[in-house]
Amino acid sequence: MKGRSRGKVVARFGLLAALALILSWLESLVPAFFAAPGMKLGLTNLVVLVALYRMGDRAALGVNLLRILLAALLFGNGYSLAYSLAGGLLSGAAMILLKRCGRFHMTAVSVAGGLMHNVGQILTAMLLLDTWQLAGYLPVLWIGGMAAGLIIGLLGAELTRRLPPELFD
Amino acid sequence: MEAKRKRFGRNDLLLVAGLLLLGVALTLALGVNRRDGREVVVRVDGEIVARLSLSEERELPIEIDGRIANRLQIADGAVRMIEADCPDKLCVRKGAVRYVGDGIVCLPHRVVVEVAGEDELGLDAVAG
Repeated sequence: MKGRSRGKVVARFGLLAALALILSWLESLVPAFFAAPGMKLGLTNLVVLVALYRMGDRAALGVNLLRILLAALLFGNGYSLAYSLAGGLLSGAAMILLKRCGRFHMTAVSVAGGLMHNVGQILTAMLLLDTWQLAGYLPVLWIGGMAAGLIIGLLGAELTRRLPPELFD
Repeated sequence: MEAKRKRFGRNDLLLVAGLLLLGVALTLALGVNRRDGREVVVRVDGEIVARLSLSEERELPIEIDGRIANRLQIADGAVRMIEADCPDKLCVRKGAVRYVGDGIVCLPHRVVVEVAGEDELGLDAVAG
């Protein structure tokens, strides 16, 4: 905590939000090559994970929200905002709770986060389109979310271990 | 943080296995009653725009914003999306569906195609 100035915190926060935004944009360029709508790796969750483990709950939530709002403004619309908000908030809440209970490592926390992201999105789609029919996509998105969360979690664990601690204090 | 070398413990394994099992259970619960569908319900933005019999072979152009955005085809008791003018074409790649409760979704156009059985007809009419 020593030597921590407000300016430093703001700068770091902005840096992380920008990084998340860039990853968001990169991912939007990759054509959907998976079996279900909305299925992707969720690279931005890497930034959220690192923020969660190195800077705490509020920073993770803040970076996530800022990224979602900016991404929707820059390359999305009202619908995409609803989807990413539901996914981001549900997965963020799940990861914060699981991390807080202190029994799980980062990788498992990320797996649950990836899964809840997809659950949030499919629930939003069901609400917006007013149909239960989308439940048919649940299995694919369930496994896909867990797999994506696993990959991001392993990367995130490696990242938090290797990034210099000076970056975050 | 540096001291924690272990990256995946027993609790993690239990959590992941539990979530996986829950997914399998949900999948089984959803897929238990696989029955051949009787009709196809097409919705745009949540509103029903067409009801078609699955036993009648035909094509249906779906108009959105004054242009034909998607094209449906019914053949051999199954329905498939054969055309879409969105970039990802996930609905086209989904292929043919035939079972009750199964469906095709085109998220960018907010088109939902659903296979319904006979009994769903009455229910939907009441709910709609």
